[in-house]
Amino acid sequence: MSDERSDEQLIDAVLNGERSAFGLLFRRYQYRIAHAVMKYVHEQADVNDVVQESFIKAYRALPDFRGSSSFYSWIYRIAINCAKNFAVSHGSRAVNSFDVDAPETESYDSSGKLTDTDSPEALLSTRQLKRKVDDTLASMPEELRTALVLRQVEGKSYDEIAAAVGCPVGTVRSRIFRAREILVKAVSPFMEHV
Amino acid sequence: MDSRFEKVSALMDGELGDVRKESERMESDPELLERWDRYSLIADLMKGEDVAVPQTDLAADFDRALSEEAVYMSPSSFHKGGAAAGAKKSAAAANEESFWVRGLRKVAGFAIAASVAAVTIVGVQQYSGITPNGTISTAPMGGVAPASAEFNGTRIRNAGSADASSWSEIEHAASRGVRGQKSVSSDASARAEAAEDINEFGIMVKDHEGFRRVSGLDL
Repeated sequence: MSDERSDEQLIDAVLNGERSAFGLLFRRYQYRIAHAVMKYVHEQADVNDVVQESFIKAYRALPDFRGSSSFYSWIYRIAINCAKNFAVSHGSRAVNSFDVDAPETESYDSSGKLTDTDSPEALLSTRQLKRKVDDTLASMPEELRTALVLRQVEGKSYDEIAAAVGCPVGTVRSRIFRAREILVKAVSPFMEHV
Repeated sequence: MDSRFEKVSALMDGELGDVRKESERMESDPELLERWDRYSLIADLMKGEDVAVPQTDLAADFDRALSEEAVYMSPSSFHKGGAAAGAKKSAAAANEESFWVRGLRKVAGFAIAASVAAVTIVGVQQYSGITPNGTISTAPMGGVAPASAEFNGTRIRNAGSADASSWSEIEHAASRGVRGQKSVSSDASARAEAAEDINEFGIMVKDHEGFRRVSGLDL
């Protein structure tokens, strides 16, 4: 996966005394983890608590993270367990009857259908964001789009992208940054707190 | 475009050399953190991930909670941080320094307390009827002595009514009360206080067995 190298660097920094690097891991995965937790916990305040608890548990157990799976898979499993425990302790019936232990299964319930635990407003907001990103990508200069897609979707390194498109690594870095900035400006109006 | 954000972009891709330095800088710059948040969300959306955007600043809450957690320290981090050399201090190095400074303060506090206690005991021995060999004389000094008095929880009778066995009891009680009991309770409270301080520092130290939390009595 494309984020693994960066995750490893951040974990290494945390284990060498830079606690704030774990905050970056939280910020990177908070949106996906919050979505996963929402399948078991419905109140927004409770979702926030469970997400935070999950990451604190992960921080405390970080020396035990061996890297056999990605950091995201690891934190995902921790979060699902925390969410299930929360749901059980609060008498919620939202817990599915089977174990969810892989990120790939997060969009399905026990009957195999897509879950609809997200509020209509939240779904609309996410769809709007996705559409905005797609539209903006389509309209940006091709060399910027190519660099960002190769990096973000294909998981290529800067060296690999430079070799693929035939330009210096510094140019790749600059193109990816400029593409991201264009996207940030496009989605900012949709986001209040992010 | 702000070149600071370009470093954030490179950090996100694992293409920045000094991760520690950049994450330390980001910690104190809300603009950089906001950029990291937005780049992260955009990455998720580009990859088609399902996301939920919280209505509150969840990351700020998490940062506060994280700040109360222990800092991991490996032997290499003492050298990498450069804090000991007087460079800009990392949070971990700052903890390390405050640990030693506070440790010295505690030792100094003990020394002062011990001195005061010694002076007090000598003073009591000299002027309150406790003889140099530790026995207590309850003979009245310029006034009427009570028939008995409470001394560290042990009732001591007036010398006039004490027999040989009660003198022995008094000596033992005085010795235990002034020296033993007092020093034991001081030691126990000091150790508890020191352990509390260590927990407050929150340091995880790496040795041959891996990371472990340092407790007050380990140091």
